[in-house]
Formats: sequence, structure tokens, C-alpha cells
Amino acid sequence: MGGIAKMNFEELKKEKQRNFAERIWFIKYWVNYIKTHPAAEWSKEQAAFIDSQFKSAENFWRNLEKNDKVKFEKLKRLRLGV
Amino acid sequence: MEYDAEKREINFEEKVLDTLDKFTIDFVNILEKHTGYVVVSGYVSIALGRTRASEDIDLLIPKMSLSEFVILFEDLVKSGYECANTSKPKDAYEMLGAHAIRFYKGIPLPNIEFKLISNDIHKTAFENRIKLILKGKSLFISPLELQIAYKLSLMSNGSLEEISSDKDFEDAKHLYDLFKDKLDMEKLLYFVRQFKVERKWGVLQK
Repeated sequence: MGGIAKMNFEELKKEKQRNFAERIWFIKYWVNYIKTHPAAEWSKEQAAFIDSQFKSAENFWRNLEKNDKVKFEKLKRLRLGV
Repeated sequence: MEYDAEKREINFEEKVLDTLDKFTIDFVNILEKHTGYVVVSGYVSIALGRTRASEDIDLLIPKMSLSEFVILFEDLVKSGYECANTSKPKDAYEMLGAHAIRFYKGIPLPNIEFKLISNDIHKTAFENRIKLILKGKSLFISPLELQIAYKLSLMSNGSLEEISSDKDFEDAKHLYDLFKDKLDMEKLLYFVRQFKVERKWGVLQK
């Protein structure tokens, strides 16, 4: 098929392994950070990370609710699996 | 953060609470007036420091009568919660016998996934739950040994050599690395065998 690059499965496998290793590295790094820093300090960083994700999700839902109630209800039901 | 394995208690008084903590505490403040419970799955790792969000909090409760459930349902509604599945408490009660139901406040994220204790794993989680103290508020969470093995069992069954990312494995890894000096290894290995996740357990320890 013209224009579509051939999939290199070996390269893809290596990429997955690299990604997995990086994610595990981060977990070890973060656990070490937790063990070596005051809880008030690292949990403040963790809370900022989690809160920022919820803030942007909340903005999305509030805007949708305000601007397109029908779509809001439809997506809400979809998200809640009902 | 101090884990006293003998007392089955984690003291995390100094935690800066995030959206998920506040949401869970708010819900549990109502729930515990009516029934016991145990928090399981993703939020356990997140409450204990994992850097990820979750859209839902999973809770298990013992079986209750219809009249007890109706009072709980009405209390939740009075506090601003909506049941995503139905607005009728009797219908919600019947659904609960078959599957989880969800509660949310205004927008669907985060939400509570609420399930009855219906098998031995649930029962073990509830009967061996540990107390997590967050800023003066106690929450009851699944025992860490069970949580680690259970999370490994939730992983996708593809080749371990080809995992790119897997939140369940990462949740288990976080708990194991953070608490490995305090875990009851005999108990953990028992759960690993029960869930038949020996190979994943091998990878986790690296």
C-alpha cells in the first residue's frame, strides 16, 4: 500500500519495553522520594497533580452542562455506564 | 506516613488532601452512619501516594436490608448525591444484588462505585481491612497484601515482555515498594498463589 510505512514490530516491541522500564523507574523514584521527604511536602505535590486533572475535567463538564445540556446528559450516562 | 502492621493502621495525619480524598471522605461520612465498608482497588494506591488520578472510588459493603438501604439512599440524596442507575431506592437495591451501582455529585467525575460483598475475596478484604487515618478522618481500606496480589490479577494477560504500561501493575508495584518491609510476606505469597499470578509477582519484585 503506497504511502503507508511498514510496521516494524521489533522496533515497536523495544519501544514498549523502554516505556515500561521508564514507568517502573519513575515508580521507584517516587517511592524513594516519599521515603526521604516529609509527607506534608510530597503529598502537596501529589495533590496538586491530582487536583489539576480534576480541575480540567470539571471545567469540561461544567462548560458542557452550560452550553449543551442534551450532550451533557448523554455523555454523563455514557461515562457512568448507565 | 506510618504503617503499624500489628494494629492494622496507617497513620497519614499530615497528608495534604486532594480531590479524591475529600470526595471519598465526604461519601464515607454518610455511609458509615449506616453500614461498614471497605475501599478497594485504585484509590488505595492513590491515597497512599501513587501519582495518578482515578475516575471512580470502589467500595464494598455487607448485605443490608431494603429498609436500611432506603434510609442510606435517602441520606445520600439529601447530601447532594445522585445514583447514576436510578432515582428509586428500591430499584437501586435490586440492582445492587446483581451489579455495582454508582453515586456522583453534579458531574460524573469522580464517582463512587458501590458493590455488595459477594465473594471470598471481598469478604477477606472487608474482614481484614486496615484503618487509614487522613487528617483526623479514618477510612477503611483493603489489606495491602491482598491488594497487591489482586492488582496483579487485574493486569492484561498479554506477554509480560510486551507490556508498555499497565496501571494495575504499577499500583501493585507502588504498594509493594513502599511497604515491603512491613508486609506479611507469607500472607502475600498465599494471595499470589490464590490468584495464580506467580510470574507477574516475579516481575514485580525486580
